[in-house]
Amino acid sequence: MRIPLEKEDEKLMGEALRIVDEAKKRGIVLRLMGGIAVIIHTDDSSLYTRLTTPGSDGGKSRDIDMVTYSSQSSKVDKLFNDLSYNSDKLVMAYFGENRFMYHHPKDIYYVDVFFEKLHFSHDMNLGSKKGRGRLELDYPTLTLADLILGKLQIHEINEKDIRDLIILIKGHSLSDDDVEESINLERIASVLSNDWGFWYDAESNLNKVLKSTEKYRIEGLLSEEEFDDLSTKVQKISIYINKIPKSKDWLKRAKEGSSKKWWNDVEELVR
Amino acid sequence: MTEKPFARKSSGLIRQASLLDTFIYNSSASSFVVILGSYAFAVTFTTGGDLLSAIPIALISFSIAIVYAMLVATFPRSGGDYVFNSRVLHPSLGFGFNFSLVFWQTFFLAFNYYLICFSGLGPGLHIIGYIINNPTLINIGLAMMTPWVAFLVGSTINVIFTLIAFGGTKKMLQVNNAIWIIMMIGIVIAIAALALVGNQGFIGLFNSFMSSYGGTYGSSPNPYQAIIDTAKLGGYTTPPFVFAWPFVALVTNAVMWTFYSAYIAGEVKEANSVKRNLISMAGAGLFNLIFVVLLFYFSFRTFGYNFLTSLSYLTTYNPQGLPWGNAVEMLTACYGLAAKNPVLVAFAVIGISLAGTLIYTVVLFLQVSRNIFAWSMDRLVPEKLSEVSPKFHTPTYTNLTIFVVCELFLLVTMAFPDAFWLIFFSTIIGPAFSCMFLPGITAALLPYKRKDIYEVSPIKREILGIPLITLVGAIEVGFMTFMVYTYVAWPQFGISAPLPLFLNFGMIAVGFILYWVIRYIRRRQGVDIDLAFAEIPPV
Repeated sequence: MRIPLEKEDEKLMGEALRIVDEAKKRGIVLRLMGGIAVIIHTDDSSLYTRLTTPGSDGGKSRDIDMVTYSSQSSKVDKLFNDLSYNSDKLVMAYFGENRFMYHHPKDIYYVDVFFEKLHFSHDMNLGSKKGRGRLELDYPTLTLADLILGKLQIHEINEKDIRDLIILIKGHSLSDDDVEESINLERIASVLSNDWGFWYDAESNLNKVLKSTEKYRIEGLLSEEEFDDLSTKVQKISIYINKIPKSKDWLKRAKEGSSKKWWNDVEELVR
Repeated sequence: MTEKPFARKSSGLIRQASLLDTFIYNSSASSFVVILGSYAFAVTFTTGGDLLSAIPIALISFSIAIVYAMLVATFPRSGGDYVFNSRVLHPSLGFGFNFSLVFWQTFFLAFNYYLICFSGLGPGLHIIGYIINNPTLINIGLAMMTPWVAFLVGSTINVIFTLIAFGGTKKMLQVNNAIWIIMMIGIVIAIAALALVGNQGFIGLFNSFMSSYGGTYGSSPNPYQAIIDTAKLGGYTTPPFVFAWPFVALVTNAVMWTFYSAYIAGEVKEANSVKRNLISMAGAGLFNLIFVVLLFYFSFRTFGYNFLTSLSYLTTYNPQGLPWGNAVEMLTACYGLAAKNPVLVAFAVIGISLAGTLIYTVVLFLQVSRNIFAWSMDRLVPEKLSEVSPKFHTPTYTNLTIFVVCELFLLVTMAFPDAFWLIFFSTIIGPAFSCMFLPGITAALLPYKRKDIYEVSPIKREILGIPLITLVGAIEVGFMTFMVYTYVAWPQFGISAPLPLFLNFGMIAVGFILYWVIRYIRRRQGVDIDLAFAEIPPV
């Protein structure tokens, strides 16, 4: 059962699910990521409400983020055209190798459609093509592990992202495989064991999660039990990540450490 | 662990062009080797011969890169001058000047496809063949320097680069980087060879080569001296080794185009940073200028000033008896000779040959494509041109339009060989004035006409109460006026007659009139194009 949402968010959620559902009917592998995917994976409405109270710059989504395989980009484009969305020609022309963007017919919000190789502060590869990637492992969103990686890769993480991480970690068990509604630590650790920069920012972000949970406990947004559960899980994730053997590239890059830039700069679409 | 503030607002963009990509891109836009050919031509009519003495005055041309670095930081959008001129001054001016730029740059793109055979690959293979004594290469080189072969090879390269364009910006930049690296390796080898060989060593190599070539000069006991003597007998007096005004216009060619990343600014990382723009634009200009100094210093020293100018005169007015009847080819051969080793010869000759031709291709293609795309987004040209293929994620119809227009211009270039130099200079002065004059005015007026933008921009800086961008803009306008005056005042450049004048500047008027015609037609269709110009494109 999903958490209750405000009217606007409910509309956005409905539209996101309608698009993914329509894609499924057409044989297109399209999955949700970002804020909406977090909501879909959130059962604890009490925690969600506490962390997204008005004035907290909380969980409101203004856009829909999706992922597909680039081999299906033409089909995705047709899908959005059929749904009366307007493609953003500038984004498509200049950044179309990595993403497409579609504006709602009434320009209320936009949909970002990323391709399997996500290029943000750090790169994430979700597979090569339909049937051979990670998109099919969950529905209608990416797997929990990939959603968490999507947050951990952010170099300049914001408070909403931290809260999303808290909500995802608190609401799910940890595992070492892609088991439904659990976080696959093996996936997270294997990605981070190949990319030192990604690992460095992920560790930094996990520390921020720990600090924020402490702060929210003091502010009364988290109970003692929730705090204990979160602290234990975050530490377990960190231990798991660090015990996995690292690749040669990772070890080589680690020698240079933070003396050399370790992330990609991510810029805003409109300045 | 470093603690970073919470700064991210939303899922953003990873822009594709890095600082290094844009530096190389801008360096490629302003080929410094072309100055060799221009020098060889100019030294036959100027009152001096010391090109390097023009550098202090030519430094003023950095005002162009500075203006662009500041304007791009304020408007980090693809489309360059079109975007800020149309948004700050008036759309008709923005489109008029940009139309002229796009027209001439498309012509230059096609012209370069043609030149790849005539002054790139053809002479390159011909020269390498002669130096390493390989008749097959000589014959291939000669075959390439015929109009139909040049047209066919040019068309093939047109197809190849159009296909690369379908691969997206990153692919284009990778190709550009590769061409630039090959070119620079060749140029570094050529300069190093000149530095190591020295004047006496070069005379020996040249005489030996000419003796084996034969002919009038080859049969002389000292072909090197024979060239100097023949030029003198023909009435040529080597000008004193002093400054001459036209050299300012020539040297600036190495610097003044190094802002072309402005046309892909929406795809450049941190294009809103003045510092980064200065590094990639003014930095590329400085880099090119350093190579101009090295190239000319060692050319004067190793070839000898008298020989260099005499050879320039003979290739221009009396090439009989010379293996190559063109100064650029003859000088390229001299660089090749200095390199001695066949592999180094090949690198040096190919590097210099690429420098004047293929190096421009990516830069010009992207510039033209981004401008046409921007016009289409503003609905000044059919919206079909801004349609993006979901498969290739590139503006398909824009790319195809460029391909077709280039083919037409290739045909024109082949059909009118007598207009070769007229076209060449028109493709320099026309676009230079189109994209460098008006931005100076835009820059100077920005703080007054668009105070809203200036006040929040990263360029807000004043000197004695006057905005810095106003001062730099005014300097740029003054410099561009001087540049135009120089080219028009020296009739030998060939643009002071009415037809060349029209070709160089008339396209601006054509574009200006076209804007008002399009506006009228669009209004009758119920489309108010003025609305587009009230906004700044998102990328």
